[in-house]
Amino acid sequence: MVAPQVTGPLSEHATTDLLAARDRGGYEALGQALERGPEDLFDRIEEAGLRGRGGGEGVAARWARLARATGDKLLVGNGQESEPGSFRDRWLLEHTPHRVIEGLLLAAHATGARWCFLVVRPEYRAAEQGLQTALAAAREAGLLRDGRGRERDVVLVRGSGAAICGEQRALLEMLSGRPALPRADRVPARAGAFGLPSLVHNVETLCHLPGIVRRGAEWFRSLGTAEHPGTTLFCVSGHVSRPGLYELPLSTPLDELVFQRAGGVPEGRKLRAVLPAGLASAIRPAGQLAVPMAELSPSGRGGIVVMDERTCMVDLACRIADFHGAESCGQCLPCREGTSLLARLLRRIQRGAGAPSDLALLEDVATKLQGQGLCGFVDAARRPILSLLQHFRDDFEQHVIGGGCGRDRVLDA
Amino acid sequence: MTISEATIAEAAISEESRAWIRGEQARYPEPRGALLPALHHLQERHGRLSVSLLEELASLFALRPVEVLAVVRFHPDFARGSVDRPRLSLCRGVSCALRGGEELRRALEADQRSSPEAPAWALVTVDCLGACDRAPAAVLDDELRGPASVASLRKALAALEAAPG
Repeated sequence: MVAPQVTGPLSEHATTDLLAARDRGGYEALGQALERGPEDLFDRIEEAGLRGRGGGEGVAARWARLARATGDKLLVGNGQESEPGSFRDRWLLEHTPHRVIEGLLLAAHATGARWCFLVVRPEYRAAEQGLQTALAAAREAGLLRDGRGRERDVVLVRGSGAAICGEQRALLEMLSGRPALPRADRVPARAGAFGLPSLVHNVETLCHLPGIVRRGAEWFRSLGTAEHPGTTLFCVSGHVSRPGLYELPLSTPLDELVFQRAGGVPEGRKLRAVLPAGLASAIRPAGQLAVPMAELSPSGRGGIVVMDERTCMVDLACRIADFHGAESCGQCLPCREGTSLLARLLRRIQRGAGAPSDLALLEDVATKLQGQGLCGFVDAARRPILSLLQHFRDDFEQHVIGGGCGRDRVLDA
Repeated sequence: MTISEATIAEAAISEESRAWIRGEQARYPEPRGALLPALHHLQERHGRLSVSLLEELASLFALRPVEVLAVVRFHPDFARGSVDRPRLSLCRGVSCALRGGEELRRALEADQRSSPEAPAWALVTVDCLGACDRAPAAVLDDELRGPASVASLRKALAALEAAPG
C-alpha cells in the first residue's frame, strides 16, 4: 500500500489497532465532546471553518440544518468513492478506521443523529474487514456511546459498485433498500433515507473532525488559508513518477503537486494535459497548471490524472463518455440520452467515421446539457468533453479528416 | 472462494441466513434497509441469486419479487451472473489504462480464449477499483493486486488453480 508522500494530520496516526490508536490520541476528541456537549462541538467546527471534502459546503451549516429537523435523524459516512482517479477514502478506511469511526460519532453527537451508517463500496473488501474488526473492538471497549452514555450502533454497510451511489441522494435511496435513483423531490436534511432527516458526510470530512476537537480551530485554520482552512488529501495518478496521496492545503498549485510532489512525467516524456479533479473536471493543458487547486476543485474532491505526450485526447474523451454513459442511473432523459449520445458521437469520431458536422453536434449537445439533469451527473459528463474540444480540437479534427491523430492508443479499448 | 455445486443448487435461504437477515433488519429504521446487505450475503453464500432465492427473500421483506429484482438489476454487483469461480476483476479506469491496463486485459482475455477447458477463473472489467496509485490494478478473489503485470497475474492465477479446494 502506498503511504502518503507527505505526512500530515490525517496520516500521522495511521493504525488499525485500537490500543495503538488510543495511545496516539484516538477517541480523546470524542471523550471531550461527549463531556462538553454538542453545542461546544458545533462551535469548534464552525470556528475551524471546515468544509465538506465531498460537496464543499460548510460542515457546521449542514449540522445546524440537521439539528433543526424534527424526528429521528440519520447520519451516513460515505465511503462509496466511485470516481476513477480517487483513492483517498480507500486509504483512510484501510489505515485509519478508528479515526473514521470517531469522526462519525462526533458528527452524530453534534447533530443528535439516532441512526449511524458507514457505507463502503464492495471493491474495498480489506477496508470493510478492517472496519468490522475496528468497530467490534471499539464496541467492546465501550467507545460507541452517545452523550447520555447509551450504546450507539454504527451499521457498516457494503454498498454498491454503481458510481451514482456516491451522490448523496442516490446513496440515501440505496440505504433505504431501493434502486439508487437520486430523488429530486426531497431535500435530504428534511427527508432523506426512509423519509428521515439525513446527512451524508464524506469519509475524509469525518477524519478531520477529531484533530480539530483535540488541537483547536486555530490549529486547523493555520494549516491552510483564510478562505480554505485545513488540508486535504490529493490523489495523483497516471503518467507520474510517484503516484500516491499528498496531504496539503487546498491552496496548493496543481503544478506543485504534479512536478514537485509526484515527480513529474517519467522517462523524459513531456506532460500533455492533466485532469485536475477526476472525470468530471475540465482538462488543463500543459502550461496551464500554475493554478491553486482550490480554484480547480473547491472541495478537493476528485483525482489528479496526468497524461503525457503519447495520450490521444479523443481516446480520453471516449473513456470519459463511456464511463458516464455506463454509470448514468437512467432516471432522467437528458442524462440517459445525452450521455449515450456523447459516447456514440465520440466513438464514431475516434474510429475515423466522423464527419466535420459531428464536431459541431458534439459541442452543441454538450453545451445544451448544462443543468438539465435531475442531479449533477450530466454536468459532470459534459464538462470535460467541452474542455477537450476547446483545448485539443486538433486531435478531433485529425480523427475526422485523417482517421486518427497518430498518437499512442494507450487509452483505446 | 469456490462455491460448491451443491450450494449453488441450494434454492432455500438457510436458517442461519434468515437469522442474520432478521438481525440486520432490526438495525435499520425500516426492515427494507437491510435488503442490499441481504443480497450481498446471499450472493456470497450461494454464488448466484436464483429466482427462487429472490422470491423467498421478497417474502422475508414483505416485498413483491419485482421490487427485489429492481434493486438486483440496479447494482452491477449482482448483474454478473454466477460467482462460482474465483473472479479476476481488472480496472478499466483512466489511470490504470494509462499505466498499461489495456495490454493486461488483452493478454488475459487471450489466455481465457486459448484455454482448452472452461476457464477456472472468471474475468470481468470494472470502471474503477479505487487503486489508481497502484495502477494497473486488479482484484483476484477479493485481494487487491497492483501494480499488476501479465506475469504477476498469471502467476497468481496458477497458484489459485493449484490450491486445494
